[in-house]
Amino acid sequence: MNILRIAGKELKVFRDIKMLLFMLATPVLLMLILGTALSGNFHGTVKVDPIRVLYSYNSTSSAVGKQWEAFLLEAKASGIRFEEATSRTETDVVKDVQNGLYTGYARIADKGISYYGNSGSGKENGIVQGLLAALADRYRLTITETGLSASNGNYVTEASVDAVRQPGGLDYFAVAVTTMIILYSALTAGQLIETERSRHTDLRLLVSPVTKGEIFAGKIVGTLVLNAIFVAIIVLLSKYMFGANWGEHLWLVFLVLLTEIVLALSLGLGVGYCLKGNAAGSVLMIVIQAAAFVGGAYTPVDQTTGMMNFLSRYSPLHWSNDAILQIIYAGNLMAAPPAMMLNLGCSILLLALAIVLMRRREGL
Amino acid sequence: MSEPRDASELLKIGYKVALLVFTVGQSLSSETSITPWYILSVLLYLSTNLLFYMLKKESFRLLVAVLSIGIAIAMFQDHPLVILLLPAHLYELASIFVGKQGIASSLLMMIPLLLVPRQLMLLYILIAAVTLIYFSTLKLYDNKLRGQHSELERMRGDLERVHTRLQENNEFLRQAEYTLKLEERNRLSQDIHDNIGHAMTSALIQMEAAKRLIKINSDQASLLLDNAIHISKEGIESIRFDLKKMKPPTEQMGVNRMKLFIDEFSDKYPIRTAFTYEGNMDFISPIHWKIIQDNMKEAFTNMMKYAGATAVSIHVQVLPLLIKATVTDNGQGKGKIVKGLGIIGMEERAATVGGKVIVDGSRGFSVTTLIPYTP
Amino acid sequence: MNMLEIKQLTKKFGEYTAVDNLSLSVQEGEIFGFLGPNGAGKSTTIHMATSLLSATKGEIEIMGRNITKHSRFAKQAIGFVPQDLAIYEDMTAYENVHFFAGLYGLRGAELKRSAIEALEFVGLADRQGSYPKSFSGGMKRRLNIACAIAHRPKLIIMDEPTVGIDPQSRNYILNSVRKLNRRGSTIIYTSHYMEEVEEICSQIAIIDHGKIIAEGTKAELKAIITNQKNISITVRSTERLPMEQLKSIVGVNTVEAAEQTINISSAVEINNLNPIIQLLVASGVEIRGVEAQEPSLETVFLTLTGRTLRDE
Repeated sequence: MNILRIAGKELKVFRDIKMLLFMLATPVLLMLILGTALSGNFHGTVKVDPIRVLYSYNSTSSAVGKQWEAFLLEAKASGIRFEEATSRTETDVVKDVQNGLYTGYARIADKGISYYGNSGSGKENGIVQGLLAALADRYRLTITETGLSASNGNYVTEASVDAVRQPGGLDYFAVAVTTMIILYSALTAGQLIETERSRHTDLRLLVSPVTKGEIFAGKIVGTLVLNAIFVAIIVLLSKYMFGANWGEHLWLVFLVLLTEIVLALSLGLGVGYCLKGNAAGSVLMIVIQAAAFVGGAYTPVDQTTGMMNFLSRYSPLHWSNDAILQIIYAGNLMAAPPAMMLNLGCSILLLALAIVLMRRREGL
Repeated sequence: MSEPRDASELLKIGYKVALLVFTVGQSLSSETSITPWYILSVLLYLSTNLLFYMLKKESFRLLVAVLSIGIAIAMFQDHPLVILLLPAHLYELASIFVGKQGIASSLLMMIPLLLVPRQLMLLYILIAAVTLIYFSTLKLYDNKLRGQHSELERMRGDLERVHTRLQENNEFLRQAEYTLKLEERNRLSQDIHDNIGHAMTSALIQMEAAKRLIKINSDQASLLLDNAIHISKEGIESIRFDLKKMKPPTEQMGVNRMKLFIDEFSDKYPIRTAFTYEGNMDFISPIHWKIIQDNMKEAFTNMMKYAGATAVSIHVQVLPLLIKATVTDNGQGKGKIVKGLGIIGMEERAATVGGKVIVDGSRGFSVTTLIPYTP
Repeated sequence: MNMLEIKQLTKKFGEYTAVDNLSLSVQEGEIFGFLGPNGAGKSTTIHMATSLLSATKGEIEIMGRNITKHSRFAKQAIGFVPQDLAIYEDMTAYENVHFFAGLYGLRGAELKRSAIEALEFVGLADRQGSYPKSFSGGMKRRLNIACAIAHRPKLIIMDEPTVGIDPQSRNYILNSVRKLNRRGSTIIYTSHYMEEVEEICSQIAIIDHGKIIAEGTKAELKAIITNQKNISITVRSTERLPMEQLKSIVGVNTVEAAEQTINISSAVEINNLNPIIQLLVASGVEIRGVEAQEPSLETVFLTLTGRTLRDE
């Protein structure tokens, strides 16, 4: 009961209209800016050595046909040769791709584009994939990728049944900015106890017949609910204002986001208890920035290589983003549990740290 | 101090022996062959372990602990069960490095998990957990015991100190009484000698003269006798007077002693002194004087050590219910005073008569002793 | 019954001893004043009594129960007014009181009634819907008190509740303290304003450097340093002064007469101002002014420690 009372008090922030607007406007603007400014990452064309790609055109829609024609011209200008695989069976074509005669094979249909790439020629393959993705994104087509990976001379040739769609700029950043904004709530969590202390209300709370644990839990529950509501609003705003794609399993996406909120709060509390005053704030800021940068808040992780790519695996943003994108675009519901477990596991560790430190300290 | 530690070490050794017996027993009953190397290693392991508990120096202990772990790991190749011995060592290693951090030691214990073969994983975790809990419990109880031990030790010391102080005070009282008597006796004999002695002698001479003259000149003799009578009367008067003012006022003694000590002090050191007093000094009993003086001496010692003062004032004031004695210097003072033995000594001294000591360093350094009394 | 009993309490911060073997008991129904300069250890003691700090040594009992063993009971019995304002600026006055009172287990209608009552008590009922940022310093102080009394605690501990406010608010607060006491609460009041303590407290402890150096009623404390008070009477002339009769009034020790003033030194504990004045009037001495000088607690503190309560 006392926990709810304290949690309820935390929610009173909602009455602060200015703050509310700021909290909502920031992520929405960020999505808009990043989604448009950095969308080049999703549409880029690059000059490269001649690349040969086979394609088959099976669409009956004239709109798609027009776009495809335009795309072919564009591709030619960039030095990529698209050759129509006329009157050849799909197995032959795939064989050619496997043998490295062609970089890949694209099949254009009404519902979208499927692409088989030779994983042996990774760089060229990437370019073609990027181009196709950009095309698909531009015209809201879906694209299927099937990597042909080499192992002992046997090539995997089967195409997946489900079409894997790729997110567009805004779609991607709607997810990335949301997860990033959630991470930023660690900052407020770090200040959670500090604000009570600076207002001296910690004394009042502590002299009342409420245990430290209840105060702690109440504050966490309060901010959790507060952030959850915020995130829900942001998600819905981006969905209906920008038409960002959040997929069909919104509840599951939201569950993943919720665990990320828990993680962010625990991070804030943990660091807030380890370090006092401003140090906690700056350390948190650095951690959040690094996690955001590395975890793909500004550039999609798939496009990074080397160190960045390696580091990204350790960013909570990355695993949350990944899981959400998987849920949205691949319908892969099983991507959720690992990410959620990771989030919650880290939270438990950080919370345990905070609790141990709290018990040692006099006062809150 | 050594007993609790010994007890807990014995328990630890017992635990390790049990573990060793278990692992060795397991390897004996398993099909893996017992090589001479294995026996040697077990023996070596035993000896390093014993060494660990015999050594007192931290760095050596560390070395030996690492050695034990090394031996255990060397055996690990052929006898994976040996890994079960590690948690205990790792705990000890951790406790050398980081003191009593339970989390650190438990993390350290988890490291060998990387080596542990799958079928032993659960067993290892069990042993690690048991070790952690067992050793931490031992440590807890050990620390508690040690704490109680030192507390007891401290209390004994306190008792001892209070006891000596009480005896000192009693001794002082006895001494003071004795000196008082001695001084009185001196003065009395001096007075008797000076006044009554003289009077009696001259009366005697006159009476003897009268005896000789009584037949020749009775008038002259009666004059002399009159004189003798007069002198005797005066003598008796003087005896009465001396008896009346026989007790010297204690206040004189206290104040004089203070003055004496302060003068001696200012002779020895280049520090100006000022001694003032107000109120009825009669209320200050000898035991109070002693406390005031002892505290003053202590304050002087402190001042010489830390204050860098050039002047000190001593003020004794008798209030209606309290005696207040203040020693104030003009040194640099001190914001937050950490109580040393000196101040604690003063407090204890004052506490024997229900008094308090206030030490303040905000303006110079001042020590105020407040002693309650019943007028 | 002893409302609060502190036994040989010691608090060390590292090597520094903030509270030094302090013992003290507060009887039920008292307004107990805790007087001492800043940094004397008042707040530290109070914080230990309210379980905000743990004691290095010693024991504290509230109504005969140890506060660590019966933590909930002790906390429920205490209302604490912290030295610094402890209110939420983003919540209305009513919400503040409502929230804190709720932590003490009050519920529903009772909670609402108690909150309103507490606000009425400190005279903020008409401002209950306002946010504290629109309040004056004195009003905030009063709200600070309201937050601590809504649950009707048996023991109210106030840590310097009047620091930095205007005289009017101060009077208001002092009156509230008396009213709370009449309502049945025992009150512990710490201050370094000797006038306040002198005015409202029935029992006073003077604390310095973590120790209680004197304790008792106002009169008892003053009796420690002197048993005399001075009454100085200005008259038109001292011609018809009934010297012998004056001296025979109970308590009067000495009477000195100058041209136009009479200085009477009298025992402090006897209130004999009335008979003195009546006598003078009856014998036809025209009185122009009377001034009675009693030693103040400030003088007591100064005499005992050699310092003033407020070191500026």
